[in-house]
Amino acid sequence: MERQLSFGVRFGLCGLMALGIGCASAKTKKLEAAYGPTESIIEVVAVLRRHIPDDTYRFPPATDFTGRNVYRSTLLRLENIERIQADPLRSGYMDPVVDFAKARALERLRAYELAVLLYLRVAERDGELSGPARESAGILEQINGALSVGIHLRNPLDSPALSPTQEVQDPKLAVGELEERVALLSFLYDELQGNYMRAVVAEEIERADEVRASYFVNRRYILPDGQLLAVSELQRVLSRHAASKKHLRHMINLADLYNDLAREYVAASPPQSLDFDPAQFQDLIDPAAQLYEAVAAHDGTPEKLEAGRKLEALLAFTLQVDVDRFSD
Amino acid sequence: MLTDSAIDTRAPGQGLALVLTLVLALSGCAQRPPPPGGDLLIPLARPAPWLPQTTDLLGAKAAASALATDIPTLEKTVKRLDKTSDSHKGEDLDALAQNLLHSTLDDPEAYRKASQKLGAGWGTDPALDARLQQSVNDDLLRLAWRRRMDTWEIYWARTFNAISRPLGQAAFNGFIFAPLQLSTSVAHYLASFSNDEALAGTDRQALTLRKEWLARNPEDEDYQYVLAQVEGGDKKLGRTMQARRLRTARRAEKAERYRVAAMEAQRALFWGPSAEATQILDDAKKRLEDHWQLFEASLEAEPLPPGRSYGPESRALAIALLSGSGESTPLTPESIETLEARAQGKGDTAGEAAYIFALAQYEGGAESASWRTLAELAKESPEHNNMARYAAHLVDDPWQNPYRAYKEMRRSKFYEEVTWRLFGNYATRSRYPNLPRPIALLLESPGIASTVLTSPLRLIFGRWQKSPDFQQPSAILGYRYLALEPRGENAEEVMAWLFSYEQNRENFVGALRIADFLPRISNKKRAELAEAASAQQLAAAAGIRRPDRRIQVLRHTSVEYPDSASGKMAGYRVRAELEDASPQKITITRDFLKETPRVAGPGGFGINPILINGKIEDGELHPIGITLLGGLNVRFDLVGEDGDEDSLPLPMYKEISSKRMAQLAAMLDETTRRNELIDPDDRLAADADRDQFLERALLGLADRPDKRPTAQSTYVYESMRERYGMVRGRESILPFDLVFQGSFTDLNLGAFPRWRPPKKTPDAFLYR
Repeated sequence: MERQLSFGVRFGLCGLMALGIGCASAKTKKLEAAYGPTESIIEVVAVLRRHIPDDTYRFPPATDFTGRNVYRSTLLRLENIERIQADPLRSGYMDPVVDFAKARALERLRAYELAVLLYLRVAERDGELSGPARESAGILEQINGALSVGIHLRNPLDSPALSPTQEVQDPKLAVGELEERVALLSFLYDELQGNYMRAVVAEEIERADEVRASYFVNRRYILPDGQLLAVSELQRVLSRHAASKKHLRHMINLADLYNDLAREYVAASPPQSLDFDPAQFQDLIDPAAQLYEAVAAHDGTPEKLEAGRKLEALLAFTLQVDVDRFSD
Repeated sequence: MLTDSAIDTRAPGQGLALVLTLVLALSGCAQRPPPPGGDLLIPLARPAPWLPQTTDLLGAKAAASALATDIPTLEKTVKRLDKTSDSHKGEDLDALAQNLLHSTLDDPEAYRKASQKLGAGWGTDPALDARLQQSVNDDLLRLAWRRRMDTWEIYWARTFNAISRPLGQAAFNGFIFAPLQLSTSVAHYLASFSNDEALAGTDRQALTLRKEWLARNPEDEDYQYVLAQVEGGDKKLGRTMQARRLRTARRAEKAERYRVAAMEAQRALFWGPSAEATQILDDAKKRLEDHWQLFEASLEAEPLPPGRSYGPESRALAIALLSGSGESTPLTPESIETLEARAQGKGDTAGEAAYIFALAQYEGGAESASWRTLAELAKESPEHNNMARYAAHLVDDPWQNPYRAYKEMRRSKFYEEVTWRLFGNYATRSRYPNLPRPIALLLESPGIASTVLTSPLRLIFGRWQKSPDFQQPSAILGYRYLALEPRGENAEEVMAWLFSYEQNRENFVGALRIADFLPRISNKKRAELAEAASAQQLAAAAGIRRPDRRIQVLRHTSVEYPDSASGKMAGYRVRAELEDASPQKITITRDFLKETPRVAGPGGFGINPILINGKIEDGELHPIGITLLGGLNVRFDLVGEDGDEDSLPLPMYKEISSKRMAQLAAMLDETTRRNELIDPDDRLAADADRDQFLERALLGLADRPDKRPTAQSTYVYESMRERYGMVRGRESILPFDLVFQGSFTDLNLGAFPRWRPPKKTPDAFLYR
């Protein structure tokens, strides 16, 4: 009896183990299938096509099932398909499709020159896509032309392009060039009524405004009234791009500048010194706190967390200022 | 009477006019109080002739010796001062001189002991006594000891209350339940220790104070003893912080947030080795690595399956898809029909067809049908249908499919609200999160049961209480949907819900914005909303401290809602704000002036005493008092001609001399700070702009007003009666409160003493 029971228990345990392993293996298999490789161009093109009309100026770019930017994953998948399925594609039968799809993805990743090359390659071959390719190439060339005017944001780790003497060149020149870029892009924006590329052009206009603000923020110690100019330029970005997906980011940037100014002010005029002016300090703290607070109130965005923590840090910083010098 | 000031609002009148006015005033307004019987201000006290006497000279010599660190001379002078007496010698000069001598002691402990000795006994000036006491209390080890005592008092209060409460309740409800109530209370008491950390917050304060003491007293004989205490405290701190990080890491691992789990485990390891933290870190890294491999594999491609090729059909479909871009339906009706038919099949090809068919539906305006197609596709297994994963992602993504996310959020938040209404706070958190869940549930089960039973009562009585805004996330998703699909199939439904949501939470500005897009809103309703919205903005403007921002909001309200009563009121307020604009608005109430004669008298402001003598008939200051308007301008608010203190005051403006302003600033500052030392309830609230104004006034710079909006102070100096009423709520001398309790949640009555836990120090938040 005892032997039978122990056999029964053993059998039951083995069964349970087998079931457990089976479940775990099924789960792994399902997970592997969900993240499995791409099988066909149609799959990639269909996914890309769904997101071509997306307004990426107002809303964040879509993601695929892995959470990656859908345009970037499309590009990478297409390149991998070209490599792996080289034999079925050798005839060049699907080349216009692949090139056109890659160009559509690249234009959303700001790789305009590369996208133009691909569009032109498609346009060279007669077919249904040559017309749209030529049209898209034309638009991208206009964007490229506009981008060739004026300064750009630079990698901070690169060595400076300008010598210190050139750095203090007339800011009107930099602003003039950026205004020209924005004017060119604005013309294009008006022309593209009803075209999905409007969002891309709007993003470039926003970027030009950001570059302009960044120019003044980076040179706020060099230029006359530099601090004031930096603040007003960031405010300009904020007011001109209220509908942008980056609106909260612009708010944080402006708040960061006020925050930096407040800290620099305290470093230069310690609160215990006679130079410290409570009203001036308040003028810097108030907008920073209000902006951080406004962003921190926006549920459902990562900026909420960042602004909330920055607000806490700002309030902690004000604790070092005596209450008879700052009380709010 | 000559004063050092001139009233600027009185135009020189002609004799005849004066006589006529006087006759009219006497005949027509015989019942009304006359204007102030004299000037608003009296002349400032002239400095009395003053020649220094021996004690003055000795006092000066003592101060000079102290500053020059000439201790022998200082000691000699203080001794001489003690033996000398003349008419200038103040009562506290000896004590002050002694304190001066003590201040030269190098050892802070010796200074504290000397100060304690000096302040002992009767007769010391209360302000000096308070200052000495502050010095005595400023002892790091003593403060550390107090914080340690606070910890013990918290434990004691918990123990005491765990017994007193059930006994008190039993006395009211009959002793039959006493054993049950007592045992429940004891169980809760024991369970409450599960929430304690190795080092309590008060002990962390003590640890920091001891560390500071060590840094300041490296040569002290107690150094080693305190060092041992600090080392013990540091170990406990390490255990506390590690336990916190581990708790978070465990939670993150359970929720499959492996990146957070790894980070928290690493933070736990910062506080010392921990097998559990290492285990969590290793597991999380392994999981992340596996996930990363899958993530990378997802970008790969594989050869076309047997039997599939890119035929003309595939090419045509791809070209049709790519040549459109969202402005029109990408495919011909025939192709759509073919796709629909093909979508009914199985496998990857059917999945692609279904996905493209859903796209065509979406761009053709059939939004709901498109999402239904995608939802069907998402149900397929990704093992057999590659497109199922894309469809599932689209359906679940709150940015791509905000309407579904909105509906689901509304549903889930509705259930959350129902649970909250039924279970109260038990629905959201456990009192004992560190205990095993079944034990915590068992302990809380009586409370949960009574909460459920009394939920109808809470539904009745709790409707006036503010409840959490459960549906806020739904509203965010609703607005997102409207932004993406302003003319979507469900736009009207979402707008209608948002309209009622905004109305319910009394955001009428938001409701009005939506009402503009809702066709069924009548003009009357819209007008009501506009009225409520303008009132909301008007109320918001009242809460803004900065005058420029306040005026900005008021102006916006008047421009935005010109036809509403509140909009008009906002316009009037803008005008009033501009007319009454002044760099400062520091008010000194009439009662404050009465309560502090030094400030009101000729040594301070020098207000005419008849204005605060309580007799309306000779002219009286309104309870509002006087207001410093910046520069040298002062507004006197007088009781109006109707003699009613509750009516609007009669303002009179006057420019005073900078000497008087400086004297007022000095007396105001000195008196309030002295009062603060003597009476802890008479606190002077912090106001940097007020202090800055008074500092400038003291230096004689008040005639150049600072007109920046952020430099304006609206501080009000109030009397103690105005602040606390007739009877000041004093803290009981008993260490416990007597509580009479009647609870709806557990239908209990009781009366029992409740031990007050020690008050948290103002810097307690730095030790969380």
